[in-house]
Amino acid sequence: MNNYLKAEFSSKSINESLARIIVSGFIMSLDPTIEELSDVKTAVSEAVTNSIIHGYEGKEGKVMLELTLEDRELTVKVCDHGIGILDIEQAREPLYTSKPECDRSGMGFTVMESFMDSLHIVSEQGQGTTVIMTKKL
Amino acid sequence: MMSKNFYLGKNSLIVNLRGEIDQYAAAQLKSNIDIEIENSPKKNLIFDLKEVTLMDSSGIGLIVGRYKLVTSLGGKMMLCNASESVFKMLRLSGIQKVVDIYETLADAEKSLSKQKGR
Ligand SMILES: Nc1ncnc2c1ncn2[C@@H]1O[C@H](COP(=O)(O)OP(=O)(O)OP(=O)(O)O)[C@@H](O)[C@H]1O
Ligand SMILES: [Mg+2]
Repeated sequence: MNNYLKAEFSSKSINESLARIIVSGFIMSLDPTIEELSDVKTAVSEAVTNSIIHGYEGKEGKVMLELTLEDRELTVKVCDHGIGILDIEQAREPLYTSKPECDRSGMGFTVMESFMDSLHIVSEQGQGTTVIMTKKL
Repeated sequence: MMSKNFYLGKNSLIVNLRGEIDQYAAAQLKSNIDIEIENSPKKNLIFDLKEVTLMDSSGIGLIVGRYKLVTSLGGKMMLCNASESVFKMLRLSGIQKVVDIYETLADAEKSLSKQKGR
């Protein structure tokens, strides 16, 4: 079954759980395993949290979550119009964080990469960041 | 809703984490846990993860941050009762290299009482 959903919400931390609920509802009809469900929810949580705390740095903005389902392949797109990433390669490195003083471990992209099948990052300084992830369910 | 619970074990402060530990939850929990650590008569800390249903990297950051505080005060920190999905996250983060992870709370407490004799 093919399906599509687009949601836009304020860059507030409380919306991280909302984003997880949206994605789990979206894939529920595919009867995912507990592990698949938890992997997808966690990956979405990472991307949305990054947009809120790094993209907008806690300031007001909009985060876009776009979900596509095509022949049991889920595509998740998380987009912000925040500060953007200067060096994407460095950002993807395990344990790299630009905010070590804020109890960050630099594991977000590593989580997205290992819990999903693919991770693609498009970003431009001052323009924003789009994270695209796919997973076969 | 904030989900927290603290109580004193034999040799440690036990923190019962609950629900989904994301950035929102971690930010709320952080200062409360630190106050409990600083006021605790016991130096050691055990995180009981039995009721944690999801943990993302913000949860790892929360644990690592408390680990630094507890060890700076001369205590030991350990984790127990992680579900399969939480354990997957812990393993990926490599946190088990610095923090001991036990299957049950009793196992974690037992390891502390053994150390005391040494
Ligand atoms: N949406 C974004 N906008 C701007 N910068 C970002 C964005 N997402 C990630 N980054 C940058 O990439 C770095 C690495 O991100 P990653 O999620 O791997 O680690 P973290 O968020 O710093 O720590 P953790 O995810 O473990 O809490 C961040 O520290 C930040 O500098
Ligand atoms: Mg992150």
